[in-house]
Amino acid sequence: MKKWLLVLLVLTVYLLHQDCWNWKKTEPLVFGFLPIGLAYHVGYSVLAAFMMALLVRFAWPKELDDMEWEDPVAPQAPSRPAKGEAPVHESATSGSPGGGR
Amino acid sequence: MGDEEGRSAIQTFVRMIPTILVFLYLAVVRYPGIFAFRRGKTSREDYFLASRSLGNWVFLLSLFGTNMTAFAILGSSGLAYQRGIGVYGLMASASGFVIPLTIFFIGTRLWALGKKFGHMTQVQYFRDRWECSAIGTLIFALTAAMLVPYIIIGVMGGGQTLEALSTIMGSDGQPQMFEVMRNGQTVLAHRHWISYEAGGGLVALVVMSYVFFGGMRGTAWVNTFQTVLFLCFGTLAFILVGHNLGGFDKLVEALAANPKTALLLTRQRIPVEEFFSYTFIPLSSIMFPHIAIMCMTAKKASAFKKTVIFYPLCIMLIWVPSVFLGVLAAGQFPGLTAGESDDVILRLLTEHTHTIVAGVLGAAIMACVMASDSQILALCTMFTEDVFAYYGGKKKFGETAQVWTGRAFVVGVTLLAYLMAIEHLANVRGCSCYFVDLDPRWVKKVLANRQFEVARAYMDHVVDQAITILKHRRVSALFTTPKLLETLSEKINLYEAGVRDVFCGGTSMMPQCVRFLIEEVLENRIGFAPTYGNTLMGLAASRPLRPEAQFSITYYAPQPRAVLRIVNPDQTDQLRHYGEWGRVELTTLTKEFFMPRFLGRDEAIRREPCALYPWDGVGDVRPFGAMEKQIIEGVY
Repeated sequence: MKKWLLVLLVLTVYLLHQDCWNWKKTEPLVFGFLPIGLAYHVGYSVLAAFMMALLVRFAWPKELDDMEWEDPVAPQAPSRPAKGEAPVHESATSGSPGGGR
Repeated sequence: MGDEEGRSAIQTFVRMIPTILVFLYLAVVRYPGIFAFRRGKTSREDYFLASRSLGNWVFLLSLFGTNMTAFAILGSSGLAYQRGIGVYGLMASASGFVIPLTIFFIGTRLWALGKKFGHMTQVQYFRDRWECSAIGTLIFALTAAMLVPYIIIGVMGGGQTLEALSTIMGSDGQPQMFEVMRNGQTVLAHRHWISYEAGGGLVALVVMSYVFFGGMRGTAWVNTFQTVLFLCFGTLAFILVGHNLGGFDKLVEALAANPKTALLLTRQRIPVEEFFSYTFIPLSSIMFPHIAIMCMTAKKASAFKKTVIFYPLCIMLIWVPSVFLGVLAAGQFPGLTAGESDDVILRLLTEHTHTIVAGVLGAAIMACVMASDSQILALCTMFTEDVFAYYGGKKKFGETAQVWTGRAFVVGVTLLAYLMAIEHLANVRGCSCYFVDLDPRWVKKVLANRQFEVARAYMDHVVDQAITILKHRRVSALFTTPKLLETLSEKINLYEAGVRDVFCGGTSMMPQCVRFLIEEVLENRIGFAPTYGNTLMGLAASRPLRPEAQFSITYYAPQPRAVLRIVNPDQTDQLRHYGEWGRVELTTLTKEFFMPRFLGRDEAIRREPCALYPWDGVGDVRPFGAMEKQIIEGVY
């Protein structure tokens, strides 16, 4: 799926949270007891889950999965240097395996 | 043992079942910690991050459980009681979308960086990213300051939950009422098998033990167990409470029909701007150390996939019942203040479900209330990694010492949180009280001997102490006598000192005296509540002063525990007519003490009942025989 379409969907879902039209309404009562203002947000939570599923399907950073294959067994992480000690590994600023920056 | 005693013992046992079940639960949750301790290694990576090995479901449920604090259950229902169904949209549904987004975009990257570079905390990440030591120390201080209140709330939630669940019930299944002294007044209140202090202490001890032994692995297992327990039994509670109250549809109809509660079914008690602004708050969640650290515990990146998809649904399953039950409680227990409404969900459980169900559900609520474990562990991880190890402790003492330092820190933080939760008690119970002792009999004696200077010096001594307190402490309610009130107001501006209400009593207050106090001394800016009482009666409240009463005070006894009558002093079996003077006669009838028709030291006018107090009142009380001879009332 196109990236811009996903961004648009995320923004739409975010804005759908502001359901001003339900502000003063109690009815209809969904299932006979749930005021519409609450029922709408129950539906919103389901929509949020669906949106997250879409993101996982179409925008998952695949390089993270590759990282597992490189290192399938949880390793003993490198020891952190104390103050004044030289770092034993390359600086985190030099590159992110997650592709976040 | 007779049949009756046997039955009584069984009934007592049945009433204690909820408390026993919660104890059982507290005993059980210690075991994952101990088991994790036996299984784990003594390395820091294992104790603080469970060797980055949490599987998909444990990761989802423990991360979610970490975010479910006492507020999610008790606070949300209390807030919904006050502000209505909009609380779900305000605090939950937005979080259900924004928090998974932050985990998706930031949490996954934190995990990857942590795995590659050995980061265990955010502070390490920031120190590396900016190559700056000070920024890490600053972030440690800020996040520690942010976490401590959460930990305290967890302990307080535990204390409140255990107290509410252990309410002593009568044979009719309803909470028994007992007379207790509160803020100087005898009131009817519930009593509990376990006090707030003991409950908070017990919860703190249990949390501390499994965090101490189990570290991250134990905490994650316990969180998973707790979340499953709450998701299952929370749903059951929702259904049972609705069923036992006659069905949700009827309850909602009743709320909609009542103008006082109808608004709770809409969002009108929440401003639009506030509703919108709350969508930004969940953006901060990933910066909470316990969330960020939890993100580093996943075994594989794929664990995040299930987490971000199911997170909104988990939020929904926990918050919708809590918010909805909070709104329903407004119809069941009307008139509770903001603090009092925090335990409405527990009240619904104890009063509208079977004892055993209430116990199991209480344990489930306790599960969520105990989410402070992750925060304690996060704080401990940060301290040992970002302070102890970073400043050379690990190099000097070794990795095992680092883990044990972490454990010692867990004990210290839990103890501190408990002490602060208990300190908070003054606020829970109302306020701190300050007292100034005085000896009225001594003053009466010196006045009778015409030693007016001595009496004046004693009065100055008392007033000086009161002024010292008013100057250096925040006192908003003052309990004093008319004469002392007048003298105090000559030496200090009571309104500017923070006083907003005055309870006044101890001597007679004729209408001209009342007018003087309200208009001149309190300048119509400070509330004035006349009180009349003694140890046999408790305190009689006064009817609100209205213009038509011409500043004439009428008191009403705390019936049915005490009854006041105005009788003919010469023939005390005869009641006076309304508006006539007579002697005050008191009858006390409590469980502990019965004293019929005791003739008091006062005389008063018999007054008619009013809407607020539908029984006889006594007006313009003064010492008996005051018109015939002068009576010394002392400092008073």
